[in-house]
This record gives sequence, structure tokens and C-alpha cells, in this order.
Amino acid sequence: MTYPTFHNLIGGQWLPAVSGKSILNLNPADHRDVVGAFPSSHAEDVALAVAAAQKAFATWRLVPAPKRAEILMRASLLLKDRKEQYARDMTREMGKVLTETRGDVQEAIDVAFYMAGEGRRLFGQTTPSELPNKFAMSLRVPLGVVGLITPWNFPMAIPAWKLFPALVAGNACVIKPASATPLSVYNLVQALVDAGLPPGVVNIVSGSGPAVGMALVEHPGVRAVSFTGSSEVGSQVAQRAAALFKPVSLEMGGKNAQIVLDDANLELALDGALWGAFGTTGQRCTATSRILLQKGIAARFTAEFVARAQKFVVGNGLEVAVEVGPQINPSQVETSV
Amino acid sequence: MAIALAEGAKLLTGGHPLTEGAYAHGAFFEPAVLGSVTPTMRIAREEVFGPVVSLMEFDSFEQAIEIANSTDYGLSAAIYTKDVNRAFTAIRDLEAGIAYINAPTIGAEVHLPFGGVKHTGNGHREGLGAIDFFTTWKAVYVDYSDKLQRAQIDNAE
Repeated sequence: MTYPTFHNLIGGQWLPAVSGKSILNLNPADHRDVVGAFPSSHAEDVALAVAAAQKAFATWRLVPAPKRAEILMRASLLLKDRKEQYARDMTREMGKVLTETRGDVQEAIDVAFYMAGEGRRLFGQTTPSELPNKFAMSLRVPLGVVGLITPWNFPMAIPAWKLFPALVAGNACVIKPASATPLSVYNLVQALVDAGLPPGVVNIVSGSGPAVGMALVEHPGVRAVSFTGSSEVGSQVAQRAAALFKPVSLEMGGKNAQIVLDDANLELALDGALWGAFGTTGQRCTATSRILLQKGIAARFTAEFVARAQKFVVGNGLEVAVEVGPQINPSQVETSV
Repeated sequence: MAIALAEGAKLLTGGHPLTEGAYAHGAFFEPAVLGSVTPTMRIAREEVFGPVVSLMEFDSFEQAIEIANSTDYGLSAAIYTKDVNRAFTAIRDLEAGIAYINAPTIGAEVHLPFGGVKHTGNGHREGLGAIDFFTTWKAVYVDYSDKLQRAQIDNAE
């Protein structure tokens, strides 16, 4: 079968990985369906991207924040126009059902609206000096080039949570999409490019976590790292970043409990538990993985919960009747077993 | 899940890879519900990141909070009750970055702080906290006295 080949975005140019190699992005509902070939990048690609970002930062930081925000606003309108296509692309590469991928794109739109507003609200402070004839204030300033490492479970929303505030604040970005779901980051960044984002302000370097993610953390030109993923990898990121005195944002796992007391509205609690446990096929960091039942309602809740869980229609998330999509790949199924 | 069953949990439904027919070429797994799970089992402490949920029982409200807090993670927690006193006590005592009352553990909105405590992460650096993370401060002093003024020295007494 034929499938498209994607390149890294570096300084406004689409460039193949220096290695010349690629990673296939497969549909988790049908592995015979290849979404595309994405670059298998390494440290040398990261170095090119960081250099391009540093160059772009020199002028991007001087663009007034309200003007930076206007680009986000235009991007949000493009995302609204393209919502259905981007949601379908996301279901194809990530698996979750279409209603949820529409929500994922909507979350990116929401973040764009929110952060566009922040362009006129990057407040600093003034405060009286302790000395006469002296004025004191504090200003928010961007960090420089920031590295963003994003997961596969929210392929567009989480990249938006990181990119949009970084951009409105005046940073230049190098983003490493999850190797399982890079297309949604390409779609998100395409909206920014089409909205007028200058070349080099956002750069995409695709590849595996060990090859690209750690190179991004270690590159001396990267001033801060925002990571969402597993606690195991997050620990490695934190340790490396600490040794280099880099600020790091870590968003990792959960073992989230829903408590149901005897006096609860049981139907409401059942609806919430089923959605919390099996929405996104349980692959959310906030997914409900423990349901704590008070003894007075435990038997009734359990019987109804199990009966309803048995009725879920599992399948390809692009099909209307399907309620629970596939997991991201066979090795993730193995961790469930 | 196999570890959970070995530790005494009971499989109430689902829990098998789906590999036949329309599922043959995908990564499908039946939504799984485990019962008889106790707080010390690994399934009650470690993240699975898949459609596997554990049911656990408790006697008192206080015990529920203790069990909810008994993992290394601290991202999201929910409680369903009509008792406003217990709802607010739970808001106060749940060790989680996000708390829901009569709503599930998923469903964060973009303009509130997002993040967790304990092994979940290092603070609320998404949503409301994102601008703080992606900026630093510059403290600026403008002296228009036209003379050297030494802080903490010339203005002492």
C-alpha cells in the first residue's frame, strides 16, 4: 500500500531525518493501515532544530505579546474549520473513538482561545522601592528555546497545552511528538504555520523517546523541558534536567480513585465510573482505576457496573456504534493482560 | 492483571485480548473489572494504563480517604455523595492535584491548574500554571535620584 512520508519541521523547512530512516505510524485498530512514515531522528536532528529555534527566538521574543496572541487566535479558527478531519486523523493513528478525538481537537481550540487572551494579560508587578526616587517592577520574560515532549493519549490537546502558553510568552519551541501519534502534532503545527507563525518558532523533531527526547533534555540550547508521559521516563528526564539546572515540568501517572458513599446518587456514580474507567480505553493519566464502594451499596453497584461494562461495543473508533477503541499497540495490551 | 488474580483479586468481566474476526489486526482488549481488590495488592497501587478497573470495599468515610491516598500517585480523585460536609472534607483531605465532587476523575478544563502531587509530577505547570512555567521574572530597578543609593545601608535607621 502507499502512504505519505512526513519530515521534520526545522526552521520552516521540511527535512528528512539525518539518518534517512523512518518509523511507520500504524492504525491501532488495524495494523495493516499505515498512517504514514515519520522521521526516525537523533541528536543531530535535535541540534539542527535547536539552532533554528535559537535564530527564530531572536526576533520572536520582540514581537509584542498581543500580536503573538493574534496568531494563536487565527490558529484556533483554523482548528475549528479542520476539526472533523483532524479528529478522524487522530482516531486513525491513536484509536480512541471519534467523539473523543473531536473533544481532543476542541481542547486544543480551547487552549488557543485561553492563551490568546493571555497575550494581553502577561502581568508583571510594580512595588514601592525602599529608597527615594527609585522605581521597582518585575517583568515576565520568555525562557528562550524550550523542549516539549508529548504523549500519545492526547495527541493534539497535550501538545497544545504546552505549545500555546510557551508561544504567547515569547519562547521558541522544539517539540517531539509521541512516535505512535505524530500526525496530530503535524496537524496542530500546520494550523499555526497557516495562521502566520514565523519559520523556526516551532520545530518538530520526530523519533523515539530515547533518541530524541533525551537529546532535547541534554542540549545546552534548551532552557526548559515540559514532559508528559510515564513516571519511569519522567524520572530520567528530571534527573538529567536537574544536573543541567533546567526547569522541568513533569506530568505523569495516576492511580485515581472514585469513592462512592452509601448516600450517593447511584446512577450518577455508575455513569461517572464507566466513563472514568473506560473512556479513552482507560488510557488517560486521570482514568479511574480504583472504585471504592461503601459496603451498603457495594453489591448493587458492582452488579450494575459489571452488567454495563459487558455491554460496551469494542472496535474501530471511526465506527459510530463503537464505544471503546483499541489500545495504542499490542505491547500496551500486554501490560493490561 | 495476571498478578492481581494471583494475589486474590477476582475477574468479574472481560480481561482478554480480542484477536478474532474484526479484531484480528488491532490491539483490542475487553474492558476488565476486578473485584475483591485490597489496598496492598499491586493492582491497587500500580498504573495499568488500559481498560482495567479495580473494585474495592470500605466501611467508613475515613477509611475511604485513607485507601484513596494509599498510593504513590496523586493526580485525580472523585467522590460521590449528597453530604456536603463529607464532600468538603474530601476536598480537603484527598491527596490529589484535582478533586471532583459528583463527577468522574476525568474531565479537566483548560483554564484551571492541571497537575498532581507525589509521584504524579512536580506541580501544576499546565493550564493556569503554564505561563508561570514558560516565563521567568526580571526584577527591574530604575533609580532617578542621580546619586548612588545603597540598598539596606543608606536607608537604615
